[in-house]
Amino acid sequence: MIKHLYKYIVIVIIATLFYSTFVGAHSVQSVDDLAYAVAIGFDVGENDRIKVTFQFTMPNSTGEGASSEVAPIVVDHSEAACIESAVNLMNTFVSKEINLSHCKVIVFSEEFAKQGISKEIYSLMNKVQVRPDSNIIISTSTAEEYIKSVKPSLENLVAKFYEILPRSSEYTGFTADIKLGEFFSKLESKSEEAIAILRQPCFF
Amino acid sequence: MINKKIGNLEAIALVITVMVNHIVLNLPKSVISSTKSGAIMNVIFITLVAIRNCLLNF
Amino acid sequence: MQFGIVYLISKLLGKFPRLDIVDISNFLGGKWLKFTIGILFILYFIFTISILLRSFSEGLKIIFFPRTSVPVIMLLFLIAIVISSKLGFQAISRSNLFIIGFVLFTLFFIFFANIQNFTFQGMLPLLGEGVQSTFFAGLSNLFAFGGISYLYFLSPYLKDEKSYRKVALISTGMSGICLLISVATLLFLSPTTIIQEEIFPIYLASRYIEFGRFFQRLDAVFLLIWIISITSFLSISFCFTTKIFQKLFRLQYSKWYISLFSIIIFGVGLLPKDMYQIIFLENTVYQYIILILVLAISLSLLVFANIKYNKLEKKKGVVSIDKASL
Repeated sequence: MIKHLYKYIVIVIIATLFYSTFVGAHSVQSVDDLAYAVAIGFDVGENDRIKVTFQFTMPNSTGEGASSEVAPIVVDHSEAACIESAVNLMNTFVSKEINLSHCKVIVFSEEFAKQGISKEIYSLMNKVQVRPDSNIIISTSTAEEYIKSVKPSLENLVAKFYEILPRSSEYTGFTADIKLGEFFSKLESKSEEAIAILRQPCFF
Repeated sequence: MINKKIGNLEAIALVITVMVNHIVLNLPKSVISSTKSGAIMNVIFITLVAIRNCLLNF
Repeated sequence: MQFGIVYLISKLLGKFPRLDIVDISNFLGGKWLKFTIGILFILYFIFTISILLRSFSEGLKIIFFPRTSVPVIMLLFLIAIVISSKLGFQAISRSNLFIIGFVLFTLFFIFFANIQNFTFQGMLPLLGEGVQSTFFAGLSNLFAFGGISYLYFLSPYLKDEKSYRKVALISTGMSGICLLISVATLLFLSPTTIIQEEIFPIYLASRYIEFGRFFQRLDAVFLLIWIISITSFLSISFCFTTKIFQKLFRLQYSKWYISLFSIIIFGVGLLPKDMYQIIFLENTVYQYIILILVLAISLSLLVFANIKYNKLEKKKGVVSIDKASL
């Protein structure tokens, strides 16, 4: 009898442990609790080292078969010494926690790129959320202007637009599909040079 | 001593499990750290020498 | 090279059918050698289980559970290990056979799915830092075949003892192929300077996989399979640990010391302070343990046991090893 009781007590303890660890009664995060940044831009800061621009989109607008209306886009920026501080600062203003797992495009202004972007590339590659298949773009204007100018007319979803845009390199030779992982590998490689595409803010 | 026996396939899977789980963790990194770009040659060499020994001894 | 060693082991163990390394050490040196070798292997298995458990838990925390503490993740694995060890060795090995197919599939899938991202110049220069480094100093990479330590304990559990040599050679060959595939994947994907600084390099390689716009982010599936595989492997190692302990002290009931060993493993797993220490233990310390204990000491033991067997055979004609006295 006592053996059976002992077994049941152990099962209850294990079940409670599983529940508290993975269900997380104190901190449940669903898709609606996160702010997904689909693009981030880096400029030379006016008051600090870098100015980071974030482009957010609504969660239901990242799915396929959405409504015919254009999904709402929010663009904002913060200035800090590094990307981690910029994300932290942004988190104080934005109502939801910033999540970079759907970031499709990373934009550097030409002025910023000339100073060297290896620090930012290392920081981005170290972040678990940022995918190595995000595209790298160097903009002739500031990154903030570039991101604000993105108003896709042929697409409803800006995330889908960023995903399809680099694929034009498959049928035209004037551009290339440069991804973050590939850029980082070539940056570290002793036998290759890292390249990125230079774009003007003009889209439809 | 346990009296239950296992078959050949289970025994093979048992030994492979050790290697595979080390691979998932950090084993290839250790091999590449010591031999750099010669890691492939290092692994192939060890395997070839072993197969040759096997053939000679049989 | 590892085939040669495995062939040698199977030849040396051929004279001792259905005996493991602990029994053979008892035959060679009596009780004191049996206890020494047994305790050494128990410590080796405890070390392996603890460090791998901690390393994998740390990786899981970084990737998926940033707000969960590492001891909780380790505890959940330990609960699974303790429950599976109570189910028995045969159950664990059968479920492991089922799981290993999936794991092998993931390794090969990661290689072939990443072909579009490969730069084959990554394997150049072909000899790395030279012949000395690749072929002579590179022999220390034999520690990768730590599975040889499990071969020493496998003989009593096999249904068909004559197939021991075949099992040993096939398993070692396939292990070599898996290692080659994974090393090739990493070399072709990134420069060596990056690979040396990575944690979970195979997981990071799986993040590059995408097929069009529909099949992306498959790394979560791989991680699920690897979690099950790690649990299976740790259960097997735990099983061997408890069986050696049971054999050394001739114990009948296993329940109390299964819990005891799980607590010891949990405690040892929490000892390293940070990831750097874990990587040092996993690579450097583990390397020397394999080379010294598994290859040097155990092989020497087998050789001396064979010499003693041959001497006794010449004197008495037939040597019978009474297993009951071991």
